[in-house]
Amino acid sequence: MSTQTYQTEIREFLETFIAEDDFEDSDDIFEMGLVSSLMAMQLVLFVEKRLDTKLDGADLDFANFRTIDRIATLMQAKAV
Amino acid sequence: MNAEAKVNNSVLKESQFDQNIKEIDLALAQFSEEDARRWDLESKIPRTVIESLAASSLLGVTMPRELSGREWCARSLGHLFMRLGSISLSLVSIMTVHSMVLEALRLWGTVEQKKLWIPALVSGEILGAFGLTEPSHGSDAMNVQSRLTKLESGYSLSGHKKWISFGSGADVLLVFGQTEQGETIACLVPTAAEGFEAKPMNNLLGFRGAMLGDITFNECLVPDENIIGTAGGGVPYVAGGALDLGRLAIAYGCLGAMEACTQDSVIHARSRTQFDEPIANHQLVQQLLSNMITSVKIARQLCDYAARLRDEGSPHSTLETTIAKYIASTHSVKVASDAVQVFGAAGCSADESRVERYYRDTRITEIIEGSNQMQQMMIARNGMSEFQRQARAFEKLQEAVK
Repeated sequence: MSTQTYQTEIREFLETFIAEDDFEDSDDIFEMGLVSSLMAMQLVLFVEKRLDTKLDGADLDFANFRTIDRIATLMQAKAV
Repeated sequence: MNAEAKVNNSVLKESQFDQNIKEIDLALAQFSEEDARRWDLESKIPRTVIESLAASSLLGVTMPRELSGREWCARSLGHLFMRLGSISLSLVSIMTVHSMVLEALRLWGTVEQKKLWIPALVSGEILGAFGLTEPSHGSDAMNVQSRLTKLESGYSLSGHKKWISFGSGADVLLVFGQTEQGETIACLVPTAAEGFEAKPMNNLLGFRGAMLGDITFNECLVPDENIIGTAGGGVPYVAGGALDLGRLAIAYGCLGAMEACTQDSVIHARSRTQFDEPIANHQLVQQLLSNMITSVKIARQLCDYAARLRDEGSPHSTLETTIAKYIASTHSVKVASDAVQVFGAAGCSADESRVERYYRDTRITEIIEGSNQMQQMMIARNGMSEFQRQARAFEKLQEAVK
């Protein structure tokens, strides 16, 4: 699966929760206040469900989940 | 999986669920209202109570089988907490925080940490508690003030935690602190550690049996192998994941409390006679009972829905669990209050009814595992877009058919 496909899927998921359409794949959704703290675990569950895999403690870098780009990169790495 | 296999799998799961319910009900039948009243009066639940739950294999029921767990579904876990709630919300509290420590390890522990801690927590050899709240930081958890200073092979922990359920009874605490770089870290701290001090907190409104602790860490040594997850992930992921389970447990506990209050109120209203007829025949009493019955059914639907999503691994489960916790706790306060009203003077006495205790205990559920105001903020921020998008989609449909 390409990173671009993951980016599209992540955006579709996030748009369920974010009213604002106008954010870039490189924007920090937490810093911009677009999501609440609940989103941290929601994104973990999204990645786990989409890849049918378990993330572990080593993946718990908050930076991995701050932008669509970073989440897609993590997914790409975990999918291999 | 083909359609037939899916149906068989679903039947198998339902059959297992029914079996789990019977097992839970049988195991918990050993506890009486006398026990629950004594725990409340003495502000203590004896360790033997938790040990007996462990002997019935009811600690860590959702843990993996290879780690002594039973891999029960979330709905079975929910039923366990519902039944516990119909006995004592203090017991719910202790079982919740113990389960949250287990959940944090299941989610984010290393293989070695899981092997070391989970079987011991499941067997009840070690009992856990969750150390997040501080005197000056509750909801603002990202800014906890407990300090973790890096040493050569571990950290030195100093700080103060307050309102820690089971804090004066547990053997190990999952503690959240902050590094000098401002990153939150989760770590396991045995209560026997040097520099650890726990003082029991008494004279509380409710949850008196939950053995709350006021805890001080004075340069406690935390080895690297006791750090759960990574620096920076402590609050958002380790606490976040544990609280997600905690909210489900509390929601189901509230459901159990509501069931107990409603059962008692119905029995009382049908047996107490005023003006030559049972008060259950009086329409204003019926209004109270109808609200109670409706609340139970609303909460049950929301709890089961959240549990089902959790079993499916759905990312939507966290929001639905938050909604279930918010509604179940809010309604439990109203149900307990209405139960006191149905009982009248007898509802104001611990010697005459258990609804007096539920009236005090349910109030606490609106504060713990995230205050309901925090739940509401999360529900609003996470839930608004769903409705905005629904409206937009309908507008587009209307334009298309013009």
